[in-house]
Amino acid sequence: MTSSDIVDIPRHWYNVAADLPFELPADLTPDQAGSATSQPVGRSMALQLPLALVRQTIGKTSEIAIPDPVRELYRAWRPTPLLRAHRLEQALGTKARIYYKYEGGNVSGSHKLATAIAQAFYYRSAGVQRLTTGTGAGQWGTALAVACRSFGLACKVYMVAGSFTQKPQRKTIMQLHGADVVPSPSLDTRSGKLARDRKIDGGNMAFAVTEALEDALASQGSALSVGSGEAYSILHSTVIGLEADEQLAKLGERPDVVLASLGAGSNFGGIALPFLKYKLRDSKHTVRCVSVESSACPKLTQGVYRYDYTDGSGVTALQKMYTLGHRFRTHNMHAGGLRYHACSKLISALYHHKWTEAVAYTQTDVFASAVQFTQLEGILPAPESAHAVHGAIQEALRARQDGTSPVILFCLSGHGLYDMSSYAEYLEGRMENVVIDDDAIRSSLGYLPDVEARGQRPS
Amino acid sequence: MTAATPDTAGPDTAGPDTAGPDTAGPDTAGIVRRVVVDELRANQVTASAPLDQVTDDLVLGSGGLGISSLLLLHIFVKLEASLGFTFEDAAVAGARFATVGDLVRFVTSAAPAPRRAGET
Repeated sequence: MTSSDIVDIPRHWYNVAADLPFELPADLTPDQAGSATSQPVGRSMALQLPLALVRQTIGKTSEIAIPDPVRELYRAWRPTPLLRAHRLEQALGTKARIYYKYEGGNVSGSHKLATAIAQAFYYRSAGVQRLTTGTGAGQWGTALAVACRSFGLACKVYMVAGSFTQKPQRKTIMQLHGADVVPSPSLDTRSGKLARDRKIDGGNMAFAVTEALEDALASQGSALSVGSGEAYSILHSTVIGLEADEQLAKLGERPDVVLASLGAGSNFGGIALPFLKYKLRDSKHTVRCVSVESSACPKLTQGVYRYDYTDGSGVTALQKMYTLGHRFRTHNMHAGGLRYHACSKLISALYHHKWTEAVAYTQTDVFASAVQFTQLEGILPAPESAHAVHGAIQEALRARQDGTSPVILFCLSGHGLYDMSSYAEYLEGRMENVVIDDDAIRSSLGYLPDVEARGQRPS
Repeated sequence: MTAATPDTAGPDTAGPDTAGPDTAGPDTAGIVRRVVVDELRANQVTASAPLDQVTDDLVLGSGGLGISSLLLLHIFVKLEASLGFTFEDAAVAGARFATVGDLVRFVTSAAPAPRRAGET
């Protein structure tokens, strides 16, 4: 392995909005979608999101300065190492050069800490005293718990019940950082109690966010924080790609293909956008940016580009994005962080306009690659990150077949040390692939708000 | 309490894209109403009231102009660009807004006093 982490922490995040050759579709209010659960008439509004994050969301400044307190906290684990997978290359018999950016070397164990630290800073600056959130596999919840602790904020995490049971260590490390962690559906919210009473299956990310939002709206000094799909989450994560760009440049390399797993978009956007920048600015650049999703939740490869709710409540804004429908459910999927029903509107728009690519893989294939990677390279990938490992291996094998020698870069977004039950299931031959048939997707899409058909937005 | 800071975006903020006038003058209320209408039109929000008659008693959200909390945040950022100062996050986060009048009063009280001739 070659480490090339002799670079400084970037002073700015990269805002791709400055280089987009198209406008992002406007968000819609639930009223515009004819939601039955929209805002009560005449109620006064309290604003949940700090203006600083909104400025980042709608601004078109290319470089956004990283605040000093955030940068100081980044120093605990950044810059992260860029490593070359020499032994994997040899084992695959490829002439491709495979590099990976390892984001698992912090206390939260994943890339999520980059935006969690930034968000906690901005919320505290806005006078917020407590953050609530929903988490799937627990990576985001852990990152937010760590960040809240760093800035003296209280933290409440609604964790998807399946993951809560599968990964008790995740709960413990969140508690270790002072967070209050409950399984979702919980007994702490009206919607959670309702779901439990009706035995409604609420074990998914959209419902966990719904509970976190209800909690934040009902609690003075609280606000909801989300970790992946928002433009500012992606923005903060670009510190990953910016570092990788500088590290590769010091080695005299430039990637031909950049891969990352896709949950809602912060991981993929975080490493890919600083490289896509070159292509957006100059058509001579040919870098391919490939998002790798789970075939159990194939929003880009099998979803539709339509307006949908970003959570399950029907009270938040609607965004135009690739979606499987906010009622989509996936069971027995080990990469919980990829379980979100949709993809952020920014990453969706880039895919829609063909600036990026997407592939989907089954979990048994992904785990086979993860085992090969850990045996050769000595790092155990999180199931989500293993999708990128598998994608990179497929690219390297294709290069062998084609007789080419591309530079492949992927983001190893987190370690899998909390996921041993999943690895045990794989090793014992008990892991099954999740088959999503067209009828299941069609059924879920039937619940999409019919915005385009009502003529409120062009399709 | 002042809810505004001069338009000198520090290292922790991304400032407005376009600079507005140095101070907010007596027409602040008019600018607020214009930005509200512009944003409603830009986002194709279907308001329950005619947009050429945005009066202070009109409800901002459901049953009135149909502005969501997210759109209201966008309106604040647009106002920063139009008025040439930035709002303090803590002041905005601590306020509640029911009507256009609430918004106008908040912005007017947050705006820095107009500079006198010769003042730098």
